[in-house]
Parts: sequence; C-alpha cells; structure tokens
Amino acid sequence: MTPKPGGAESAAPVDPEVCELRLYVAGQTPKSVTALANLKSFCEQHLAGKYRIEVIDLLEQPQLARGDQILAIPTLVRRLPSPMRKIIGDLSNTERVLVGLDLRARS
Amino acid sequence: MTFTAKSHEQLAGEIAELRGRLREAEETLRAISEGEADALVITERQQGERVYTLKSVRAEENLRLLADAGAMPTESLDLEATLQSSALLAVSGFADWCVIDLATEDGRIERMVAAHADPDRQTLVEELKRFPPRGDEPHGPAFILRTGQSQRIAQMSPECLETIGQDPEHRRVFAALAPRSALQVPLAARGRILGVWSFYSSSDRRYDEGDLALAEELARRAAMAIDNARLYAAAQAANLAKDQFLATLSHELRTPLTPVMAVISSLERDAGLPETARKSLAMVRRNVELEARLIDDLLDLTRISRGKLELSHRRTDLRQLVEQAIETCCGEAEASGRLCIVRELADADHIAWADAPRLSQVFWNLLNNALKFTPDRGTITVRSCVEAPPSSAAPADPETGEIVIQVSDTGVGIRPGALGHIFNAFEQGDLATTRRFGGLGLGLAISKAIVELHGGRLGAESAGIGRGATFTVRLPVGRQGYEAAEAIKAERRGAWGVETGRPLHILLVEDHTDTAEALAALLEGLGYRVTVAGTVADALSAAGDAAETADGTIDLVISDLGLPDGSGLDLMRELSGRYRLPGIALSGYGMEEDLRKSQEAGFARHLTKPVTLDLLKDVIDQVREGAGDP
Repeated sequence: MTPKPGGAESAAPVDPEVCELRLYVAGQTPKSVTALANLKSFCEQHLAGKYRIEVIDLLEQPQLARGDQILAIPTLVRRLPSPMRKIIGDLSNTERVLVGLDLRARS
Repeated sequence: MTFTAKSHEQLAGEIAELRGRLREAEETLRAISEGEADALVITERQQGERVYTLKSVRAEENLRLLADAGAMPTESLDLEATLQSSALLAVSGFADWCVIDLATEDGRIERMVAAHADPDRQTLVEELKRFPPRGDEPHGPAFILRTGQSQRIAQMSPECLETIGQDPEHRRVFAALAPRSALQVPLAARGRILGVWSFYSSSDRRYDEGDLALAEELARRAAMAIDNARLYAAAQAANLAKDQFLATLSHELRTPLTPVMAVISSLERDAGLPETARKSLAMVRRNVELEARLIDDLLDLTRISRGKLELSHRRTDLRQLVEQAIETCCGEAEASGRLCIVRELADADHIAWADAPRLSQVFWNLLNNALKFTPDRGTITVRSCVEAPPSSAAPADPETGEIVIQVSDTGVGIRPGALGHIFNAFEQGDLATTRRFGGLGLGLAISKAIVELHGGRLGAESAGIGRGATFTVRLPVGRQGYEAAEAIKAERRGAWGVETGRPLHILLVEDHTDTAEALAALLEGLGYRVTVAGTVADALSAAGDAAETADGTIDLVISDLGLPDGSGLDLMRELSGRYRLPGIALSGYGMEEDLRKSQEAGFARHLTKPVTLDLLKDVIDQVREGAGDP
C-alpha cells in the first residue's frame, strides 16, 4: 500500500490558441468578486488576446451547476482546450492557477 | 445478476476518472477549509431533478463563533427562551408590562414578546403582538430602532396616549393597559441595534434617570444574549450544512465505486483469466479499496462531528489486533525489503473492552502513516506494554492500568509547530506535505476521535523534521475504558450550557426591593447563586443558615451601607469576624472618609452607585481571587 510517485501523467503545457474559461460564482460574494478580478488580471498577463471568459451566476441559473458538477463557489472551469480542468477558490494563488490551467512555463 | 465484462481499458478509464474525481474532491475541501471557496449545498430534490441551493459555509469562522457562544456560560442559547426570561425578569418588579421588538433581516419589525406582571392581563398585553411597529413611524420602537436613542416618558398624559397606536383598535388595547410612565431602550450588541425593549408602569411608579440606566443595562445584557442565540443558531446551521455537504460529496464519490467493485469480483471468478491479468486485477482492486476507504473516512468524519459514531464494545485482545494490522499494512513493505519492521510487543494480556474494527482502523491509520512518511530502508517499530495507573505502586492489575501501543518511524518527522494541529481534520503537517504525500488528512483526526471514544488518548511526538515520529495510543485496560467512554458520550451530549463546578454564592444585602431584585437577577444571569436580604438581621440569619448546609456556604457579600435596622459596616464586621467572608460595599457615598470606613469594617472593595454590571463582575472576580490568598 505504498503511495504512487506523483506526476505520473504527462503535463505538457498546452499552447492556448483560445482558452475558453467559465467562472461559476454565486451573486456578488466577496470571494466571487475577488476571483473575477484575479482571473481578469491573470488572463491579461498570461493569455493576452487568447482567452474568453464567461461568468455564470448560479443564483440566477442554479441548474447550470449540474453540467460541470460544481460543488463549491467560485470555481473556474477551463472548457477549451480539452481536457476540461477545474480550479476551485478565489484564484488568489497565481501559482496554483498556472498549474491548474497547465500554463506553467517550462523551467 | 450478470455483469458485462469490461475490457481492461474500460476499467482503467473508469479508475482514472475516479482518481480525477477524488483529486477534485480533495481540492474542493482544501479550498473550502482554507476559506477560498464556499460550499454549494444540494438541499432538496424535486421530481427527480436536483435543485441546487447556495449556502455559504465559512467553516472556520463559524467554528470560532460556536466556540465563542460556548464560552458565554450565562445565557440560554435559545432565542425564544432568552426573550421570555428577559421579559419575565422585567415584569418581576421593574415594570408592570413590557414588550420586546426585534428587527428582522428583511427590514420588518417583529413583536417577539409581550409580558404582563399580572397573569390576568397577559391576554390583553398579548394583543399588542397584532400591532408590530412599522419602520417609518415617527416615534416609539421604530424611532428608537432608527436612532438608537433611549427614551424616557416620566408621565404619560392622556394627550400623549392619543398619539400612540396605529389605529383605534391599537389605541383601545393600549388605553386598557393604562400606561403612566415608560422607558424605551435599544437592544444593541456589537454596534448593531437588534431591537427595542419597552418597559411600562401602570402604577404610581414614575421612571427616573436611575431607572433608565438600569433598563439600559438590562437591555445590554439581553442584547448580548440575543446576539449569542442568533450566532449560535447561524453557526449550527452552517455546521449542519458543512456536514451535509461532506455527506453528499462522500456519497457521490462512493456510488460509482460499487459497480467497479462488482465487475472486479466477477472478473476474478473467471477461471480463464491469464495470470498477468489477474495481477493487474489485484492491483485495481487494492486501489479501488483504498479509494473506498478514503471516502469512508470522509463519511466517518461527518459522523464524528455529528456525534453519531457508534461503537460496539466487546472483550478484545489488542495484541492480536496490532499483529493483524502489522501483517495487513506492512506485509508488502517488509517482504520486499523496503522497510524494516520491528515488533516489540510485551508478553502480557492486552485485554480491553473495545470496538475491534474501529481500533483496527486506528492501527491501520498509524501504520499507513508511518509507511507513507518513511523513506526506503527506514525502520518502523511497534511497541506495546501494559502500564500500572500512575497513582498505584502495585503491579498491573488486570482491571486497571493502561495498554500503551507505540508506532515509531524513522521518517520525515513533524515540525514542532505542526504537532499541535496534525490531529485536526483536513490538516496535515503543512501544505507541502499535502502536495507531496496526498490524502485528505482525515486519518489522524478520525483515529484520535475513536481512541477518545474508548476513553483513551492518542498523542504524537517528533524530534523535528527528518527525525521520525512516534504515535502513542493509550487505552484503559478492561472495562474501565468502556465506562469512561460512556461518561464522555454523556458529556458531549450535554456540552452546551453545562455549568462545571459549584457557582459562587453571593449574599446580596439591599433594602430597596426593586434594586435588590434586579441586581439579583443580573448576578444570577452571570451564573452566580444569589441570596437576597433586606436588613442586617436577615443577612445575618441567611449567612447563619447557609453555613449550616453542606454546599450552601456563602462565598461573598455585596452590601448596601444604609440599611433599615443598622449599618452595612456593622454587618460586615460581624460577617467577616464570624465567617471570614469577603465583602463588597455598594454605597451612594464615595468620599475618602467613606472608603476608609468601609475598609476598616472589613470590606475588600467599596463601589459607589451607580455601578455597571461589568465593573461589578470584575470586582467580584478580583475579590474572589483575593479571598483565596492566605
């Protein structure tokens, strides 16, 4: 029952032609507002001109939580390029967002 | 029941998807527990369709509020009860009737309580509940709610009565209650005005400035209690939502494992399967089982936090449990030579009254932790011994003492600062550990809870990073742990509002009946036991009576100085001479001469009226501590 060494799957950074992002929020909660602000500045910095953000307010369309299986708010979903990826939280940790979106520069 | 055999690729795909889900679940929990996200809670189902409702679960904040609410020992945490008892307190002398209005979240004003000192008029005063104040009214509770200013109407004229009331019916009820003097004070806590408390006198009593001050103090206390009750209710709701969320999450994760396990079982029964496939299948099964256990841990945690983890205690040989756990968990690592496993189990009976599967879970958790955090060529040592209770010098009796089981490793160790919170759910040593070693960080929290439910203790020691760690389980021998566990269970059930120890018994000597009653009620509200006396003679006989009873002894005297049948100074001389009682003087006079006199008479402190309850409480605490000194 020894743990598997991590990083078994290859995580080759994707060249984002167009990154299609969806941010799930619930009204104007502080965390949602923070997440959107963080997301915008992040995209300008790392994906300038190559991204599209769609904000979904689950207070207005709760049924949409089902589609992407949203369990917490805010959640960012990268719909394209596939595979789909999810980042949960207010996106304040840039490093985590970079890893989550597969954008970390090769070192 | 038949299963369509799935190909290896299909199975591998399903496992990969499950891994993804689990990773996502871990990430979700991390984000929530670190306050980066709020949980989304599924609350109801409609015609097979799930309806998602949003609820914020700020776990940590709410736990803190919960703790704060618990730290307030004096008031009931039930809003209705708090309001009722406040109102009853007001009409037991201070007012003939009173009304409490609270602002609701949606901006309305709700008339919560109306109480009358005269039971015959209770029905009449209740009629006022039909006329809750409206937010825009130019005077009365609505006005006070807006401005936060107290109001005193010393004398209510008939003209004044004419202006009160929303309609003739309201005016009729009001006139029937015949108010002649009134006080209206805001209920404010933490800078917010929660409501308004209105006191009315229908007798000859005219409220003066002193009464207003007392009403404000009463309102301050009540507001605090109301605030606590509301915070408690909110925290409980949030906590419930959190548990519900975890339960849902665990269930969602567990469900898809069931068909996978079924398929594995049916494949394993297939005699024609080649040996290589059989091996991969065993690997798949082990991992699915591991996933299932992680999810079960989540479910366990929700049960523990709801107090719903049930143990079935049986006579159990712990030595056998430990040996089995070592075989199950460490067999592979030992056989492959990756780690050296040292067994140092004492040659004595390890019999306890325990829930064997649950304790096995504890040993598995500790051993798996050791395996996980110990690098190749390391050593895991499992020791056991039976210790006599510390108080007794006699050799270990079969029904007393403790069974001690230790799991030590030579692994990564624990940072000294992290030792304190490794037993908290969702917390591992630090984030780097989480990233490197995975897991939800639930094992230790669950283990600790299980050991404690057995009346035992689980502790951790480490010399620091890179220097290994030792986990020690201590369990009572025989049936004593079972009995201790039952006691703990009872204690957890009654964790709220249970006073520990005997309350301080105060003799309050005050000849002004209303002041005495109000003050007594306030002091009782603080958790003290209060005996009231109106004269020197009464006070002496009360102190004498109390000294006769086993736990009725008076601890402290608070006395007015001008009493009808003598001076509080003489009384204090008597009490401190006879019973060595400490005392606090409450007096209208605060000149130096007065202070000197009361000190000479034996009072520890001299307070000049009016005193605030906070000051009085502080002084009581000081005097009580001082009294313990030689």
